[in-house]
Amino acid sequence: MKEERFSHEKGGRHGPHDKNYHPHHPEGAHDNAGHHVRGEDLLKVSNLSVEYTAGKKITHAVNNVSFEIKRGESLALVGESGCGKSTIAKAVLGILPDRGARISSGEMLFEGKDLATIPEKEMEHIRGNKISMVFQDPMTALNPVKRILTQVSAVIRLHNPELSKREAEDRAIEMLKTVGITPDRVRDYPHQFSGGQQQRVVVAIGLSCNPELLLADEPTTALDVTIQAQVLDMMTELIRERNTAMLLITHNLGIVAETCDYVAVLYGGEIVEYGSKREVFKNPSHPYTIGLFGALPDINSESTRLKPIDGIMPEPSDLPAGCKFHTRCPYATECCKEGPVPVVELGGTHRCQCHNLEAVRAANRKEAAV
Amino acid sequence: MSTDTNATVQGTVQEESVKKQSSFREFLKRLAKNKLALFGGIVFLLICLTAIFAPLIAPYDYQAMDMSNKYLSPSLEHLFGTDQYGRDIFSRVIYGGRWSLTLGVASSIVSTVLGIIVGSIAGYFGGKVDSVIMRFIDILQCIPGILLTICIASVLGTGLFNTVLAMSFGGIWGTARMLRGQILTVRNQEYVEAAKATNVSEARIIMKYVIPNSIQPIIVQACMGIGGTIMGAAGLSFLGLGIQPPMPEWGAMLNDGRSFLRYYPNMLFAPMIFIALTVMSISFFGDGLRDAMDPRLKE
Amino acid sequence: MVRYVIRRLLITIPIIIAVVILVFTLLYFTPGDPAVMILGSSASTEELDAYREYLGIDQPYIVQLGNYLYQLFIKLDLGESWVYRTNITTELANRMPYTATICVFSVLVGALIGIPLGVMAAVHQDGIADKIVLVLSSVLSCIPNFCIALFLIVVFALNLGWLPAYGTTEGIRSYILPCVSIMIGGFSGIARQMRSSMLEVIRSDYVTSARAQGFSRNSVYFRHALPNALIPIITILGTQFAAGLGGTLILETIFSIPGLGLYVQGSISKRDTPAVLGCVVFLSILFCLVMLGIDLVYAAVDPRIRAQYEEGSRRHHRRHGRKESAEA
Repeated sequence: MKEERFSHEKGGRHGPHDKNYHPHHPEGAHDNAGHHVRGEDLLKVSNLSVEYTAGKKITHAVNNVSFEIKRGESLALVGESGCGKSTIAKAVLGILPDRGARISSGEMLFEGKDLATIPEKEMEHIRGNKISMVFQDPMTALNPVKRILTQVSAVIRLHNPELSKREAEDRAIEMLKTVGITPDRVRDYPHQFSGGQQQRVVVAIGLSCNPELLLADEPTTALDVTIQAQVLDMMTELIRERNTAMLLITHNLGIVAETCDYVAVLYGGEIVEYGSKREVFKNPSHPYTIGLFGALPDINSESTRLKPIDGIMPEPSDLPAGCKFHTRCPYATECCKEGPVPVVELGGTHRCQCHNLEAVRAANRKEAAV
Repeated sequence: MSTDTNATVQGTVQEESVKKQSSFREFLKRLAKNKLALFGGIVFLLICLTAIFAPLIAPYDYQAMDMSNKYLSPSLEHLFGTDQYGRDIFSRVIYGGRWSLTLGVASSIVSTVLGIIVGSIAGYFGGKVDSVIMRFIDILQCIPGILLTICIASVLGTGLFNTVLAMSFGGIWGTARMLRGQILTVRNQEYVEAAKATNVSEARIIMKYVIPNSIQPIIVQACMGIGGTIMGAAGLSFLGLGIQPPMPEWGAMLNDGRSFLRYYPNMLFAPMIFIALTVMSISFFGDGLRDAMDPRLKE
Repeated sequence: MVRYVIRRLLITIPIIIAVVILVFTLLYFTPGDPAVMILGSSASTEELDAYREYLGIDQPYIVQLGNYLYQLFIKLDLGESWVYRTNITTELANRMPYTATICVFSVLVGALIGIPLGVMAAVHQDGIADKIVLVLSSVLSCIPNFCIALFLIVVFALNLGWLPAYGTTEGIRSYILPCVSIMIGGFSGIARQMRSSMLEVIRSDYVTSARAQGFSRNSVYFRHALPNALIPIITILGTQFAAGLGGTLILETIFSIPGLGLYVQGSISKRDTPAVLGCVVFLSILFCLVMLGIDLVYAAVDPRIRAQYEEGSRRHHRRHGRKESAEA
């Protein structure tokens, strides 16, 4: 499988330096006589719902979420904490907590297999090998009592049992070198590294088996602001080089702007807006997305005040009926309070889940004019 | 400016007291939900009540000898049989609860209070005082606890009061250490700094913030400690150092009955059952108390 | 590391001095005249005075204390028993094997049973196995070990006749009941600790991350989580050893085992000051060594702790320098 992928790369399919490679213009991806520039779906999630049960309380963490990631592309899941971002990643990887968590509906097709129903043994070959994950807090994601070389080479050996211990270690040292850990430090323990270096090690573990898909769960949130950019740049460069697809989970729109091709905005466990980065950033349509952008400081703008979104995110165990956002939405009308919300296609890949798109548009046009 | 800060500080204090009340109700609710803890609490209460109302419940006088009815096996008249002097073992066990429970509860209270005092002194004065106290505690922890207790008990002599003192000595240091640690951490916390900025004295801060904040684990520890002290005191009496026969303390009864182990083991079973039941009920209740106070700890 | 060990060993000396002063003072104020206790109340005043002079207890408190410390630390001699006139060091050496056997075996067997039970409970959290282990361990840890000992004697020695009720004459068979009596409390404590330690590790991020890397559930539990969950158990074994030592002191009287416990109790009741002090000094040193041993094992398995022991400044400096250069 891997060989195949590399040969594709050699054929110049989506190299970042390839002139035909337009990750930032996916809406124009179907020119060239219908040639499929975007390629096949690597991961296609449809109608995924996850619920947590604690006693009699059921929390609907993820509701009917659908998205797809093509080979070599990156998708950002954006939302506040508690909106179900991490749960989606854990569901994809099949590492939801044993007790209480349940995928209640939907399928997750990865290379044609449904990850929700795949047997555990087969899933173990996918985890860390074809899909791997980078966790939020590097301090706790590394085993504190094992040398980092051991931790990296253990994964390599797990998925490449034909390698000898030495070969695996050599490969691990190579991998650590790529993420910027010098060979003289590979026999140190995690606590001897700074947070940024620890996250580099975690990335090395994640990429050590050349996965097709990397799930990055807030990979830089726990780091100092100055180091965030370094680690992020290193990570995006590596996945571009290797043509690895990425599902990036973040609440930071700045990071999305720098790294991703597609954006899915999550609220209350639902994708309220989805589209290519350009579509969403140029034309944010859902009131929540607009709110997110309004809460960002913009040095070019003359307005001096940020516009925070009113209210707080409802508890995931206590979501309102109808549109989940209507309790905080300035445009909410009666029809938002119950029933399903229609998904409006906005052209290209852009789609949005809202009753009152027209009113929202009109209001924003007016505001822009003022 | 200073009145302003004062107002906010008072505001938070008031808010906190409201929160405290509602959280106390929550706490009771959680405690009531925990069946094992409830069971433990009820059993302990029953044992306490039988000990308090021993004269009403016990069918016989605990020291009334009846030489014609020695070594009786359990029967309806003598629930646990009689001992070598023909005394009713059931009555003795019930009366014995008075000694054992008093020992356990009193030693726990004494050691907790002393522990709070020592810990506050160490935490409050800090510096030299603190390091002297901490070194002293280190030294004490190098002597096996029971050996020290035996030494102290033999210095002080037997009897209820002396045994309480000897037993409580060992429990002081854990509490002291914990409270001192709490004081040191809380000391640097921002709300204490804020209180300091408004000229509240440090002693007042310790009384008003630190001790109330640390009191929960201390209460839990004290509660669990009762079980330990009852076992320890029984051990001491068993060695003939705590409460002496003919007083019907449970450990002393065991010591008394040991010589008749071979032919009349039923003399031993009653005090054994009561010791185990009491310690168990306290432990269940203490566990429940801990879980109810801090639900995050529950697993 | 070596420097740390030496420092710890040196710290033991002032601790022992303090322990001696404390216990000496306690014994000094214990009511009862040793001369009367030893010679009996029929002895004449002259005899008693002569004996007191012979023992050196006619001297003031501070002189007696000084003499003892001189004898202990300069001559390295624990002295002679007042009552039996025997050398205390020999006495301790003769009696220690009995106590040590019971103590070590009960802690080891307790760990061997308790650790698997705790792991099983944690892995099947809230399952039947978990509930059984929890209830069993909380019930068993509530029964004092001398009660268990008496019960075991009644059942296995007196009624079934399988094992001897007292003494040490029957080899291993004599040690089974005393060891089991202490072990029952010990293993339930270890099982509970192991369970919560294992649960904590299972919930930690690096275990989830090991799952995310593709390790199977069993491999994650037993190769990643278990070694780390065992680390805090080392401390528990230390406290168990201490508790076992304490428990042995009582159990030796029940099983008539001529170990340290029987000796120290006899010495306390006979006001045999040097014998008591000898036992206390010996046990305290043993204690300090066990604690040091535990800290060393801890350091051997946990690099974070090891880093604390290794002299800090140079390494810290180097680390800092590296951190900056690597991030730059």
